Amino acid sequence: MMTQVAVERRPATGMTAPRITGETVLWLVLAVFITVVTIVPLLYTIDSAFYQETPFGLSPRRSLTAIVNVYTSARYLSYLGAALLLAGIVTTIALAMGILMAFLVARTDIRGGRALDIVIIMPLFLSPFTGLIAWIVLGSENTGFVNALLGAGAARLGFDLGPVINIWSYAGIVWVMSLFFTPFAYLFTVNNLRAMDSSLEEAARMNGATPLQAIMKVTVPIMTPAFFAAGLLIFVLSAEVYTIPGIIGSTTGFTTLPWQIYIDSTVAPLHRAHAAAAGTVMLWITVGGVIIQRRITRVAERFVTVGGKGQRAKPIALGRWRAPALAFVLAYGFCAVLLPLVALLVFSLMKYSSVSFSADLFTTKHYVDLFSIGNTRLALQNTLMLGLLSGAVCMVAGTLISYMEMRRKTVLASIVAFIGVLPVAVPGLVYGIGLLWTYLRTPIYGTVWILLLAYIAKFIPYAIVVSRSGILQINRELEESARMSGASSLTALRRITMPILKPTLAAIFFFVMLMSIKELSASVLLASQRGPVLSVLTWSYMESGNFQFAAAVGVVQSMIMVALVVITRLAFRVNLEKALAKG
Amino acid sequence: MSRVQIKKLVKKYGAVTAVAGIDLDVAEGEFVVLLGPSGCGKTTTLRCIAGLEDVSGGSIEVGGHVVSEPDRSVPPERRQIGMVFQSYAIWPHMTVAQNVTFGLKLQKLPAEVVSRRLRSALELVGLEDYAERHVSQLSGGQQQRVALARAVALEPKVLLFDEPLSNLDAKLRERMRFELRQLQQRLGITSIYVTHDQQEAMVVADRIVLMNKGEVEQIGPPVELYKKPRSRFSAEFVGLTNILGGRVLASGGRTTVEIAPGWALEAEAGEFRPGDAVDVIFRPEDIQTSLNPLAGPNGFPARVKSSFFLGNVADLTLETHGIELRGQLSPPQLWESGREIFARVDPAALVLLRR
Repeated sequence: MMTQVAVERRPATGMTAPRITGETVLWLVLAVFITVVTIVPLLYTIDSAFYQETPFGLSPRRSLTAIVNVYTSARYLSYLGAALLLAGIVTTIALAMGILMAFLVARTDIRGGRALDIVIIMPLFLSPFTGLIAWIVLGSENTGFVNALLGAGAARLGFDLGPVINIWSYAGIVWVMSLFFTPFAYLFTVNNLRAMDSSLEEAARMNGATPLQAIMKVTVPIMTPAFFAAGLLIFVLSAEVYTIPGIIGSTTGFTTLPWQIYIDSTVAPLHRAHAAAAGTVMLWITVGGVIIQRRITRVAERFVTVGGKGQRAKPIALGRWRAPALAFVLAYGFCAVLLPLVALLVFSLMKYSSVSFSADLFTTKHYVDLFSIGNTRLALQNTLMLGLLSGAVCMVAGTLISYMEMRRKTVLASIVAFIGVLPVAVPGLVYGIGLLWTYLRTPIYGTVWILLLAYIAKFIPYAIVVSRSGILQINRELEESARMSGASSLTALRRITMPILKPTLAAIFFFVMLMSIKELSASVLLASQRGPVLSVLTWSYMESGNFQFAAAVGVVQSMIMVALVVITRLAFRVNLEKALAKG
Repeated sequence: MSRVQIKKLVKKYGAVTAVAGIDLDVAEGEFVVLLGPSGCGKTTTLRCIAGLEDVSGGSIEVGGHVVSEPDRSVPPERRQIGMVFQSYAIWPHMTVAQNVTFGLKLQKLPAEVVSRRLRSALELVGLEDYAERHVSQLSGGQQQRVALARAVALEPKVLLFDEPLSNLDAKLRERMRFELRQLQQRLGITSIYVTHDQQEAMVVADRIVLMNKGEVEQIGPPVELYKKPRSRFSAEFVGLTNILGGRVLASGGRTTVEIAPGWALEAEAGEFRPGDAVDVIFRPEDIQTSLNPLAGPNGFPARVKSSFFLGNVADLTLETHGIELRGQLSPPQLWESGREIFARVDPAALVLLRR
């Protein structure tokens, strides 16, 4: 017996039948995990739409009432119309601002050049909802800082100005949303503009076109697919936002479909089937949008010729427009980042809302409270822990999924990767209700762990897409040579691929962490008293009218995010926006 | 040092057959080159030997042990085969020394063995002073040497090369060919080398395996491949060739082939019968030219269509009996275009292939 075993184990020449390797096991774990995290809640949501509802949930009996009601009643269709119209307006404005700034940074001699990247991208790393709080502080009709300061100035000059801006309006919703969606337009067009083969424009110049004509007749038509793709993405993302239109809309009598989903699923009497049915409407929009966007991107890739010689077009001289151009970009950064953060900070230090800034108005009480109230401290802990965990899980799982997809090229690998990217098309709100109901009867219901599942499902698509482009850039011969040097496939992955991917991994980790910290739309539904997080605290303080406290929490949240961006940049030398634009 | 035996190797990707049943026996210490156009299956064959691809049919044996069969395969890391990749595949996050010792450390060899092997591998490729360099500081040629040192340090049974020189500039490529050959001879490692560059193949190979469309066209030493092509493809792929279609007029001691009405060429021997359709093949350098008729068989008058000076040779296009011929004259001799001259091909230089 002994000798037989020895013979069978000849190391270099022993035959190995198809066997269960570490890789296969890892694989199955991933496949099951991704299915449970992303598919089950989704199916649950869709399934829920086909039940009769009670004021407390669903009755066991099937019914088409909710579906018919949502898809055909004038009320729900008008909510849908409102959401689409708002998304359309926001998309148009964000696209115009984003493309203009992308063009200025990529193709002109604007002062600052690439350093302006971070100014324009920064809002992406802040919470739009915190931005909303800040702009409420700044732009409320009577108590807004802007109106107060302008009014005081005008009064000194001897006339009554009245309120200049009012954030509690449709225009206010559009303004805040546009500010925070502009970076998407910028991010998804600036690299196309940078990479465009400059000889195309030069050829137009040689054919007698002025610089402006060359841009309008050559560059813009070539870039149109890319612009359109960016626009669709913004449309899809802005159509699902309910927090900003919700807070403002609820006081101005304005309702969008996502907000109605939130009301139907949280405010008694519940309309769970209606919420689920409306969720499927949102799914159609996002799935449709993503499909079209993919198709256009594919067309765009065929269309845009990327100059391989590293030859950059000569920057267009702005001449006397140089100063105004820079002023425009800086003004955007001022409105989207600096002004809101300062306003938030000032406001959070005030005892009560006031526009007369006297010394005894200010207090650090809210911060002292923040760190002494158990609930907020717990929220801070939870937020950080969830950020770290979801960042780590998405980084590892996402990278492994795209690694398998790119390197092993099996059908199963492609399916898993497809499923993993699917949630990018699913609104956080829909995930929220799906998870809520999926795990209603399990122990994780009402704990922070249900939030972790939501974050992983929501952000694993980014991890997959970004790591995919990272892996694409690694020559597979690097791994094969490790195999030839005696490394197993897992050793090659661990010792060769992962270290080379380190910058990409860091980018994924920090990006997912940032996104998790600012995530609100699913969190609001899922977070409970037992497991609060910062973003939800700002929401509940806003709803209960405790604006100063909401602002203080917002400041803490923003500081964490700014710190994270700085850390990634300085300590890990990772430009998040670059890694993202690649994906 | 191990013998490599490939038996009826088949590799399919879905409906596409990349390798269609090849047989090859590489002796211990032999240097064999797989040569062929892109898509001929040479790299796939190499990757099957490495274990990076599973085989669809046939088998591969290394040192008498089967390493690849359909559904059963020794993973690459357990084959003790070294490989130099086209891209060099030098790991960018490691130093030269870390690259070279990666596999040695995986084997958990004692530290002194590792450092000894590292030193001798680097000495072998002339990079003794570069051990602590980061690979980003190396030139393409140096990276190539690191890749070689890394493969050799493992003291593999077989060394595989996948177009190792194709990313180097022309001058360096030329020099590295000789170095590679010398190195292989010094170490005596069984080597299999893939390239599409026939000159490279000629320099390094003991034997060349010419592949086409997943099959072996011809196996033989470089000289044989060049002088005695066994197929039209072999003749055309290796070197420049004149291929003339003709019909056998007479056979016996020599074979006479009619190329065009009124023009026939004689070739040595060949088992052909009158009436057989054949291709007459000869190399451009086998054409001799002169102002006066040349002595011996196969002389013919021709008109110069063009003539170019290429340095070591003069390239010449001739026309005779409505057929164009390519010649290369060494030492270079230039002829005026339009000039009527005489040319000749030695019957011994002609190769006849049945059409």
